[in-house]
Amino acid sequence: MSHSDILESCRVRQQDEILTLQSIYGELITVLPNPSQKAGTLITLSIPIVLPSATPADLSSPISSSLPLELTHLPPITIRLLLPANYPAHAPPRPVWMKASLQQCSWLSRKTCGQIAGKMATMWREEVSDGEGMEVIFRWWDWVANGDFLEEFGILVDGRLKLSVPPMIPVSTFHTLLKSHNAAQVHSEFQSTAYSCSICFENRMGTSCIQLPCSCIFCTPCLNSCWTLAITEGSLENVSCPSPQCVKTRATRSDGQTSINYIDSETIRSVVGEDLERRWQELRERRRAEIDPTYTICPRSTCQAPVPPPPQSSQDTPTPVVSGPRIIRLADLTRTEKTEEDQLPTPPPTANTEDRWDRYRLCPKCNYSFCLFCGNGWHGVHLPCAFPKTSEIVLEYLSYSEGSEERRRMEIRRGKMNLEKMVRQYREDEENKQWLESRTRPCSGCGVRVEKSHGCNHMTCNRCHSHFCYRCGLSLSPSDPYAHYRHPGTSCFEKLFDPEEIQRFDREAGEGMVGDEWPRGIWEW
Amino acid sequence: MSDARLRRVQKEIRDCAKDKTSQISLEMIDENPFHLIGAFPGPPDTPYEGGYYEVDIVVPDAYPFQPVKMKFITKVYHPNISSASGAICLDILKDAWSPVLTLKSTLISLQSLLCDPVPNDPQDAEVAKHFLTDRQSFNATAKHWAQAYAQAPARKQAQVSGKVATDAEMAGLSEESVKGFTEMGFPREKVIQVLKRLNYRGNVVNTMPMDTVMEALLS
Repeated sequence: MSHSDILESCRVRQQDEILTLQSIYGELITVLPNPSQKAGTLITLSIPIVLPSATPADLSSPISSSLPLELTHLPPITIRLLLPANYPAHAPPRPVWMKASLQQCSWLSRKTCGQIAGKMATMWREEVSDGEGMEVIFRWWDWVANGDFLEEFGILVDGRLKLSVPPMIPVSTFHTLLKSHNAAQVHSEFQSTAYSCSICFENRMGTSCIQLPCSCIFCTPCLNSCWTLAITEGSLENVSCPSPQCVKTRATRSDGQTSINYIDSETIRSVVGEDLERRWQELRERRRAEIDPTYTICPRSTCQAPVPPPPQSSQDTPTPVVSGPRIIRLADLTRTEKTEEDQLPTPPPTANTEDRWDRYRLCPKCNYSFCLFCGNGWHGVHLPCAFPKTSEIVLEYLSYSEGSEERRRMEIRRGKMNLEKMVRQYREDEENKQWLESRTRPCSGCGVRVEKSHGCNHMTCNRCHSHFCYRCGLSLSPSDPYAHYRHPGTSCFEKLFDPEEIQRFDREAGEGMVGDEWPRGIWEW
Repeated sequence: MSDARLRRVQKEIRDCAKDKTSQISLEMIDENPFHLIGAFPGPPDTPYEGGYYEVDIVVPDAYPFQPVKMKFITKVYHPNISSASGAICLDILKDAWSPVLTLKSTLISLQSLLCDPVPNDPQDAEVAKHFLTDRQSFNATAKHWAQAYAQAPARKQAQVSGKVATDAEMAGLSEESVKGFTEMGFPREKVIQVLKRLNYRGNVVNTMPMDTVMEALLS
């Protein structure tokens, strides 16, 4: 073959190789114009590096441990190559320059860049057979793009990336640049991929999908419907991942793991919008207030917002009160009027005013500042609470026999009508309380009163999702609540169903089923 | 949302019709895609084998974000299924529901519920007691029910003798115990009902004081 024949065949082979690369990598490869018709071709490659999985990265800095980093995408390497006229047959491509740029700096050292470029000639030589070389750019590209070079040059060791911080830039900036490059790539990859939503069964592009922290993916419209319903109905538990595994994990989680699968507010806002997100926040606050005894509810009937304890009181350890007033909690006041009557001494005037700041509460919603104990507007630290004396008066009134002199005196002083009204109110409250106590049980988790209409004695609280036994009030393990009824000797052994419940089954069995009518309540059970 | 519900249910019905391997069928009632009848064969190696079970399905307005309502139309003798109403006690029909579950996958879960009863979380307390006291007798009763209500072929020996399950057998009681009380003059129906409630099977027959039974019969 003559020299010009060789050059001609090389020219064709180069053209073919470039066309192939362009058809695979598109704009990542550009051919530079060659107006002066010099021998050979100049091309620029820009190679994005994608690791097979997210890989932890350490930066060469003493504070690197405080900057955790996981990378799948590394910034691209750009290289300009001169393909000599006799490439690929008799010469390797010649790197003109190369950079691994990240903003104004380079994330690979000059030395590593040289090594990577040098590998191209090595690869070309490996392919030489019968005195003729082969096209080598694709193989080299692959070796760079998969990150194989990282391992070869000691940058990826034991599954961890060791990156040296370039001079002149602070380690935190370097960290942020790498992280944001990775995030942007992950994001654009997600957006350009199609996912099948497992709720509507439709294929959607990543732009209208969302990935939750548990890595489950749903389309945003479906998740919107799901969460909108959950927030409107107030079932906070369902404002989370709806996949069966995640639902199951939540349903059987033990107490104290309430944070499982919680979704951050930003994600919720992006899915359901600002208004519902605000309502979700409110519900969450209220739920917290119901469970957390340090929270209280704003006493204004039009507000009723949950009021958190003031920030400083959480830091203060309760100081032992030596001679100050007995601290009376709000719960004590509302429990029973009888104890109130016995135990409520008016606080002596020497009350420790420091303590009283603990009672100060400010409603974050309506800005009502009030006293935690009496619920009245804040009366300052120097004044004691004006405790409601109503029940005390009623009890005193009732303790005297009808028509007695004492009663008459009280009637003159307070008004007969008033007293009668107070007595009526008192009796009504007592009856309510008795009814509540005889017909309902408190939830072991949040204390809400629960009435059982029918079914077994294993209850799941609708509000806080605690499991408890309706017979004895004990809280049950969510993973196996029925174990409680299987231990011989305990009071609830084999008492999952009350005898009345079994009789009810009997009656139903006797009556049988009528046509399409659904027995009422069966589904709610 | 309701549009999405219709689209999804229609897709589910189509997919189910295409799938021949699962043996699950979904039929609309009066062309209403939100009220359907699902059906599946009883799982092999269980007392329900050979039976064909139909389930009434109501798709709620907020489906798939609310669980689908299902109850057995075919009578089933199973601890987690009400022998009277067909109501089902299964976590995924209540708090463990996920919008990712489908009508088909839920029916498959019902099928596997037939394989693995959860007697500790029963829907039918009497059946659950029977299950826990005397498994053999429970299996026999469940089989009788499958033959009587779910068109399961009768066992070979039974076919030879041409025997149809008696009312005592349908209640999972031995003819002997029932006879003992009917001979005293109690009506047979009442005896079966009471013995069923008292779980008069297996070892209970030997341990339960006669007075307890008599008291229940007389009340």
